[in-house]
Amino acid sequence: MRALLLYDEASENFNGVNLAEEVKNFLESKGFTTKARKIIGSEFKPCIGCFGCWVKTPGLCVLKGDKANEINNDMINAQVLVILTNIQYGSYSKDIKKYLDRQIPNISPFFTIINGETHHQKRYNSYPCFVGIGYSANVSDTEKKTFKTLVQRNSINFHAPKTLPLVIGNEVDISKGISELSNFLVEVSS
Amino acid sequence: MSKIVALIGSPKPKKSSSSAIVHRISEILHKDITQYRALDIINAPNRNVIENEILQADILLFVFPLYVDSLPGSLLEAMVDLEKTLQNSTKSLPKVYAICNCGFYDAEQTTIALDIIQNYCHKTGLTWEYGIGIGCGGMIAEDPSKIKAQGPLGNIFKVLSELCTDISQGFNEKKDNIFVKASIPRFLYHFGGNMGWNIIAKHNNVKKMLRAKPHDITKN
Repeated sequence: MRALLLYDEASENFNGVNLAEEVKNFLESKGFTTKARKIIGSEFKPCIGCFGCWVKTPGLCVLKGDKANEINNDMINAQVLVILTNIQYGSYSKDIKKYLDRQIPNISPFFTIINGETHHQKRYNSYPCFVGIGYSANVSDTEKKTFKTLVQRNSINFHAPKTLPLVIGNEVDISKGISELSNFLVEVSS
Repeated sequence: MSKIVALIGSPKPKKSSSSAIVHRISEILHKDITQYRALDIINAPNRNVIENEILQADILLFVFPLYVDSLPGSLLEAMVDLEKTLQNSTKSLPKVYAICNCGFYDAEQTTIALDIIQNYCHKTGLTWEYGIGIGCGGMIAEDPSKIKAQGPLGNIFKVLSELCTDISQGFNEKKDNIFVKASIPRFLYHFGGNMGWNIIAKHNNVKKMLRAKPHDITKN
């Protein structure tokens, strides 16, 4: 099975721990062929809200010169998507969010109803399960709650079959998170 | 009357529904509102000057579209940058209202985006007032004249008018966030939206490709 790990720069040194490497190694140890990509905001153009990815070049972002379309391809062809991000006011970090705005080509413009709400239809037959790991040594309970809810809400629009939101605030959370991730990967693999 | 500044989160270069909303608020209040587009601020050589101007405001409006259940990346980046200027500010900080318009039918899908702005205010010392989440945002169609007392966007006009009253009267009681959408059944909003995509795609000669799967290695 394939996993795609997207991480921001700060995750390479969280309280002296390289979280990106830890997560990548853990995914590999569980049998996932893992592609890890560091997301640096300055290397991506911002989404300009043109919807060209839906009505000009359906399924592909019209902005050229960066790796957004390539990562969108990796995402669709992975069984698990893991996003490792600094928590910023309960949101993803600005770098991760800049890329996420560019992944909407992976869904269809057409509306559908999911759980009684309006969402976009799938473009592809299958989508990866989604793990959103937020880390911050200085995160309030409210921001933790916002982040976890955001991951859950994104999973609906990402059409993820299964979702796991995790928040890491200290070293105890890291081992706890790895244990939850382990159980989740068993579920995904079965 | 207080100085009002709007931070526009839409990355669209000219017209946007976010700037249309600010335009309408300005008309209701009979007052100019200085608008700054987040994407322009983060790229501006004089970013610090603009940030200091923003912090001169009595009222700061965050007005933005919902992007992937939260804030557009450029708005988030502008906020991170502004936080540094906020930390050095010795003046009294503006009161904040946030307006998030979403292309989905359900206004409540803006909840997390408004929470993020509230969390930001809590962290930086800005005074959070309340947020307005707008559903059926596609119907604003970047045109302020669509937001009027009569017609399907009358509910939205009413809520914006109440916001203007709160701003002009210096309303100080805490309010919960307000969620409002157009007076239109869901099926009709979906029908109109779906038809719109087909029309634009036909114009671009890609109607038959609308459901293309360029990344599908199995080609199914």
